[in-house]
Amino acid sequence: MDKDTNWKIARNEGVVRAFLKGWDERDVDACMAQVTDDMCYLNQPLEAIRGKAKVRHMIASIFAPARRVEFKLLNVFGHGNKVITERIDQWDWNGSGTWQMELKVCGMFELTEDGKIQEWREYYDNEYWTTHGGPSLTL
Amino acid sequence: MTHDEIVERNVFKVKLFIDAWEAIDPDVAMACLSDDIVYINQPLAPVVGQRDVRKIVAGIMQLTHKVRWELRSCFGRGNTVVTERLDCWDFDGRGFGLKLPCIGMFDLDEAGKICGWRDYFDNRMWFENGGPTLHLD
Repeated sequence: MDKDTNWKIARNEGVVRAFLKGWDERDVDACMAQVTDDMCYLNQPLEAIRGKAKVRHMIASIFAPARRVEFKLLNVFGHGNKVITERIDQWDWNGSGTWQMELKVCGMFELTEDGKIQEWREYYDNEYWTTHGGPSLTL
Repeated sequence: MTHDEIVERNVFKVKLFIDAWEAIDPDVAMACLSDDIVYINQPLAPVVGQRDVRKIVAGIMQLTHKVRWELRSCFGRGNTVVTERLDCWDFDGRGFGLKLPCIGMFDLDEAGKICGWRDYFDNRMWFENGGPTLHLD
């Protein structure tokens, strides 16, 4: 791989890490700073959520009931304009200091040339999400 | 081998494994896996070792009329390869009744065999559309 390609992949990985850090801090502004206006957020196999305003609304409504969040990153690596993240998303919904949810999940990100997240596709077991305190993932 | 050569070898092995699924050939599929293979369909319990993983793999294949894993992404870093897929299953000879969006993460050992396989997908979608059991009873 040439130098330019390596640089872009490293940058993209940094953007994705910053986006996920926004989740740890439940900071929707920090998240949205990393995405395009026409961003698509897809929780497989649910309906896609398109556009910055709608994605912001969705993310904010997931943050609302959460007391603490920590995404454990098992793998983060890019190729071309894509970055894969394999994670354990840990959620504390009741403030007890324990994780009521430890969601095993993979997220595939696609980024634009200028390093913004344009598409985010999440793969995980939806029943696990809903039976461990996860709020609605549709608008 | 350089890092890029290792990644290339690993990606090749994972694609060989996928070809074996499409050929519904458990012997070729199992030959891609190490003796200590750990197979996890998240969030189900891991299935460990050639003997038990073969039971699951052969069990699924036995009920499969036709299968095609459409690769949307496939790339690696270090010992790990990601596959983002649409797994199209025909369990009854009447066409692909199940099209399952899925990500599979593969870890490969030094010999270039798959020693870790973690699939992420919606389990209800699998089971409600004819998908057979994914754990040993």
